[in-house]
Formats: sequence, C-alpha cells, structure tokens
Amino acid sequence: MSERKSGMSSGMKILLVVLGIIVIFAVILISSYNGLVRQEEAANTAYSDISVQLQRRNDLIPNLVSTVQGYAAHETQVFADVTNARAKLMGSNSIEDTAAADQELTGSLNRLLAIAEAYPELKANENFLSLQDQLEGTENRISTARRDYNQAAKTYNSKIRSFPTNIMAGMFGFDKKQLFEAAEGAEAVPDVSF
Amino acid sequence: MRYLNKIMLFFTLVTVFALPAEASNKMPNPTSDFFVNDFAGVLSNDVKDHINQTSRRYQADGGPQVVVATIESLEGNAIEDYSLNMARDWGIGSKDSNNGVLILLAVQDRNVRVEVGYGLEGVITDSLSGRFIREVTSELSADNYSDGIKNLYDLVIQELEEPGSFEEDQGDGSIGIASIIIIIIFLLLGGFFGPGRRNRFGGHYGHGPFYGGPSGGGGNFGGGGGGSFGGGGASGRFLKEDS
Repeated sequence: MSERKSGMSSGMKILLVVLGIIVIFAVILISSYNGLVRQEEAANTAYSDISVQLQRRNDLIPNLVSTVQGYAAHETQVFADVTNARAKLMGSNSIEDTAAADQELTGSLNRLLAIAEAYPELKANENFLSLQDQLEGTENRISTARRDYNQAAKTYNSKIRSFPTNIMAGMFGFDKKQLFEAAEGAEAVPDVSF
Repeated sequence: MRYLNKIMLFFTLVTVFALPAEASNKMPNPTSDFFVNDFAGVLSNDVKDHINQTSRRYQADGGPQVVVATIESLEGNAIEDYSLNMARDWGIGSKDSNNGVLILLAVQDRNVRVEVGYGLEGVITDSLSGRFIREVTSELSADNYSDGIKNLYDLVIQELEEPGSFEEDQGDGSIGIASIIIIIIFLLLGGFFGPGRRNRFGGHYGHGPFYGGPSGGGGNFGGGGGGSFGGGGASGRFLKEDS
C-alpha cells in the first residue's frame, strides 16, 4: 500500500537508507573528533597547571633554603639534596622524568621542613612560617593539579581507545597521554631522616 | 527502516555507556543555610547566626561566598583533599570570579583548613591563611570551637573587605615589604594562567553576575555557583592543650 502511494522503487529506498547511514556516521565522527580535541585540550590545560605550580615551588626554594641555613647551617646534606632535586626538576623534559624529579624534590623538602622541628627559634620565625605555609600550599596545589591532570588524561586515553572514537583517533593521530605518576606514593611514605 | 532504528539505538547506547562514570563522593550535602554547616554540632547559635547573617549580607553586596563547615571526622582523608572536594562539590563562589572560601573544621582530627578559591588566592594568600589559623589555635586547642571559628571567620571576612588590613594591624614593616613582594609574584604568576578559564583577580568582588545570589527579596540562597578551587589556602593542626 505504501509502495503505491510513495511510488518509490526498492532501489530508491536502499539508496536513501545508505545515504542516511552515511550522514549519521559523518555526524558521529565529526562530533567525536570535536570531543577528542576538547578533551585533549583539557588535559593540556591541566598539565600547564602542574608546570605553573612546579615553577612556583622552584621560585620559593632559594628563599626557604637560605632562611633555614641561617639557623641550621651545618645540615649541609639536606640543602644539597634540595638543590640537586630542584636542578633535576628544572632540567627534566618528559612527563615521566618530571614526575620522578617532583617526587624526589618533595621528599627532600619534607626533610628540610623536618629539620625545623629541631630548631625552636627557626620554628618561631615568622618569615620561616610564611615560607612554610607557601611551600605547603604549593605542594598541595601541585598534588591537586596532578590529580586533575591524571583525571583528564585518563578520560582522554579511554576515549581514544573506545569505539567509535578510536577510528578518529587513529586517523588524526591522537596519541595516548602519559600520566603524571611516580609521585602518588610520596605522600604515603614520609621520608624523614635525622 | 527497522535496521536504521536498530543502528541508531546501537549508537545511542554506545554514547550513553561511553560517558565517563562520575566519581562517587560521599560528601554531605550542604545544609539549607549553606553558609553554616555545623555537622559536628560544635558551634553556638550566636556564632551560627553571626556567620549566616554576615555571609548573606556580604554576598548580597556582591562579595565572595564564605562558607563554614564543621565535621566530626575526615575518615582517614587528608584535610586538604576533603576540603577541596567539598568546596568543588558544593560549588562555593561564583563561576566567573571563583571567589569562594571554605573554612573546614575537623573536630576529632583536630585539624582546620581555610580553602581559598582561585579568584581570591591573591588576597587570602597561603601564608595569610596560615597566620589566621595560628591566630586562633589557642582557642581551638582549648576546645573553644565557637570562638575559634568565629574569630577565624572574622579574620577572613575582614581581609576580604580590606585586603592588606591584617598586615597593617600587625604593623611590621619588614613583613609588609615581604607581602608586597609576594603580591608582585602573584601578579606575575597570574599572567601565566590559562586564558579565560580562571579569572584570578576576578575583577575583585562586586562585579559580574552572582550565580547563587539572592533571588528576590532575601529569599533562598541557591547554594554554590560553581567556583573553581585549585588547592589554595592553608591548614593547621591544633593539639589539645594539656597533651
């Protein structure tokens, strides 16, 4: 009955169905491409947050070290550790190296702050307390930024591996993002030695 | 056409299941007061009223959202993680200015934190948050939570109303210079932050639409406006006096 009314041949119908499928595919592919771009951008932004906070901590360190040195000049090992770890972090390029250097620097800074416990005068120094607050705040921001980045990177990574976005990702060369890891364990194990 | 429907259904399902599962969090919901959430039940009614009225008036004037929460226990979480999740979850502060502040007291953990939104990190710096906390440590250590939290809250509000006032009151020249340097560093750093997403010095308070703002004549405050937090602020332990 419908055939008589529409007057369409079955060939025409098949053609329309095929066209419809092509259109749907095109829409899905375009939107998934845009989605991928958005998520990659979110991960990149989150990573730049980590960089900003790492830089901020690097800028704080010389001041902190010289303040502690004023009270505890003979703790040379810790100062050397902090300085070395800071230099290593500044020289690292890959995400993996940066994460490892970050962990090392966090550990040595914890040791530096632990020293202060043994020097009541240093602990009462308002300048030191302020630097300590800033350092702790920055460490906290780094771990927040790290978590946000890893979250964004994981979302992105699972997106480029799941169907149908993986077709898109393969065609346009969206690569897996390296997680900013190695540092997660650093908080659990306070590396304090006297 | 039946196949087409099936294909469409298939893709709909794929899309639905491809959505990332929202991370579950067991954060308590804010109370209807929103500005005061005394889950631990340690604040006096006077202090609660004071905070509620001040924060409401303050927000009605276009100022930042300052929220106080007390909890029994962090249940093993770091206070930094807990307060960040709470502040983000509740969406404290406006989305445009990111001008939220959360003061969180964890009674059993004997820990307190001032969590500062992106837009206010330049006013309530980490070191200032730390000093505010040290100002009230003696009250908190004596289990005088009402006064301790009220004083901490007032310090935050006063600093927001008059940035730099705490330093001036202390009258210490060298610290004044240090804070100017810190502010300059902040300003320089502010330049590096991503475009658009954050309004670090969000035109200060007073401008821009206020999401959870007073809708109508002092009616219900619709909760948070979705301000962003990046872990700014400070936390401090207050040990029991006799221990």
